[in-house]
Amino acid sequence: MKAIEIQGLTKKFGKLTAVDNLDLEIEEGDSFGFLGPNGAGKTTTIKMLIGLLRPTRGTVRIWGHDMFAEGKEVKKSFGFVPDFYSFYESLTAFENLEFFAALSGIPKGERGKRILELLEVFSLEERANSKVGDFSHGMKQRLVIAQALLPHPNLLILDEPTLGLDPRGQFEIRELIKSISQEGVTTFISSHLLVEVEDMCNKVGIINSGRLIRVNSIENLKSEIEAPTGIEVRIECEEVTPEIIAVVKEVEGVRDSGVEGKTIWARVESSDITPTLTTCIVTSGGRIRKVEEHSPSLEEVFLKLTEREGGQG
Amino acid sequence: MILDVIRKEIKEIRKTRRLLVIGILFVVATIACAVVSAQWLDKGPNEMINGGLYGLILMFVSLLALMLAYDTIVGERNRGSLALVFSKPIGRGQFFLGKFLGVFLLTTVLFIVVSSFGYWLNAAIFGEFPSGAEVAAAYKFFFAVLLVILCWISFAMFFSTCFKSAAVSLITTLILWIMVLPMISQIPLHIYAEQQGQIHIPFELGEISFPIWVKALYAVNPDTCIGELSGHLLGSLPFSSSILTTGQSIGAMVIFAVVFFVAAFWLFRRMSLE
Ligand SMILES: Nc1ncnc2c1ncn2[C@@H]1O[C@H](COP(=O)(O)OP(=O)(O)OP(=O)(O)O)[C@@H](O)[C@H]1O
Ligand SMILES: [Mg+2]
Repeated sequence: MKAIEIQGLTKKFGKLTAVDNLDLEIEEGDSFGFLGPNGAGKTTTIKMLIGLLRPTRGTVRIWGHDMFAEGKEVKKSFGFVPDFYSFYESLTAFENLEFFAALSGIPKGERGKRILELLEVFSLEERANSKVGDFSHGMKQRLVIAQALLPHPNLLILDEPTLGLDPRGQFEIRELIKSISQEGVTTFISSHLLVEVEDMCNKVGIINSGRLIRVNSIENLKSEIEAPTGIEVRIECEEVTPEIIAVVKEVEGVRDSGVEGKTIWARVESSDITPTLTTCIVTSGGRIRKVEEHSPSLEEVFLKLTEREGGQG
Repeated sequence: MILDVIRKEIKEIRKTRRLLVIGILFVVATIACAVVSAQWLDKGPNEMINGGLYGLILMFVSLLALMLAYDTIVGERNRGSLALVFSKPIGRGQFFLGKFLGVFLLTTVLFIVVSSFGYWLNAAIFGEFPSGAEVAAAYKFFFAVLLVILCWISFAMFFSTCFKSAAVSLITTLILWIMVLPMISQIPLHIYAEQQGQIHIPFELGEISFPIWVKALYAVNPDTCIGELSGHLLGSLPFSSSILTTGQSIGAMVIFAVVFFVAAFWLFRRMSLE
């Protein structure tokens, strides 16, 4: 079953098209990274996805139900983590969760137990009765995710969940989200950080200037970029002789090569060629110390894809 | 769910400084009024609540209602909690109503408790306890004040729904309350009276019969209506005479409250969180 189906989703703010004719499908069990630079339209898309913002055009279906026609039903089936934290600061963590549990439709008798359970998972049980206003950013972020999980949703939508956290906090949140998706919850995570998406997601969609420019698995996306650019193999030898240089040039699939000190580098179509390269070097009398393959990082893929397609920052 | 919203709203407001400041001012002013009326003005409880001094105290009640309601919606919108609320399977109407009732209940309880205290304190100092009929009249009047509270909460919540900034909502609400509505209410009255050769308002008002449009504009301000009602419910003071009947005063307040409530409710249900 499809967790999310978005068709022709468009949002205009005056002249600005923040989201432009976006089509997207997320399968049940997917862990989807919605990647884009600042101002790409991630938050706007998510707001329409969960019914906070009326689209200019297009439809959103969650678990097969239309968001705008059957909003109340649909909202029972997902949890949402907004991009900026949004609790009642003067109330305690417990009071906040109690309120959102009530709004989520959890029966009164079950609320307390569920809240304590989540506070424990998120290591907040000792601060249950402290005012949320006194919480650190990391604690607030954990609390807002706990809030989203209250009704045992089977879909979790998170807008930049690690924004503003220190590396330790980011790591904790990522681990939490990973464990949630391992339990079978479909996740939709927006982010402008590639490492994050690489770490947490199996599928990624890249949005830039309101347009979805790629949807793919992370591996496919990387190889898609590898094909035109190729990967670089760096082989360090004890000595680089002219013979070796010549022989490397001749290997099929090598597009370019060169020497830097005792290292010979070659740009090749794929890493399948590396063994051939090393064999050739050895048979020409070279002694290899180290072989390194440098494939483009997702970072480069991302920069490349978002470079010129729309031209905004 | 609506009860949960009311409970949360009350819990949250209870912790604000606004409630504390205005509440304390209200309590102090009520006690002062009770003491001054009994000791120096020689007024018993019913005469007190029908007097001008007490009229000023009612301003605190209006102010309280406005100050608690002006950011009910815009505040949640700016803090982001509204986004979280709208992502939950609760009807927007329910949420709105819950917040409305939360503010109303809190203001009402505070008003009834403090006013009753002032009423009986005055009676005790005055040394003469009111008759059953007088007590009934006084509480009828207190009940009518609840209408004013409803009016101002609807009014402030309307602007709270309209604007994206709490400061704009506050300033608009206060300016309309302090200046614009009283002007709409008083100016046509004065102009008409002057045209009729009556300059000394309010002493000779009884001698003029006002056309309906003057009365209608006069009734626009709930604070004016409650002043009229106090005369009807507690007995007119010798020098004031009424422009609106009891029914007209109540009707005007009900219309005011309903119009702003419905408008705010309608806007809120259609609100898009941009
Ligand atoms: N309410 C609004 N009115 C006008 N323009 C808006 C509004 N909300 C967003 N935009 C514009 O729409 C575009 C997309 O914004 P959006 O917040 O969706 O980006 P984002 O991908 O979430 O960025 P970020 O990483 O900074 O959160 C931006 O150019 C932004 O200025
Ligand atoms: Mg954003």
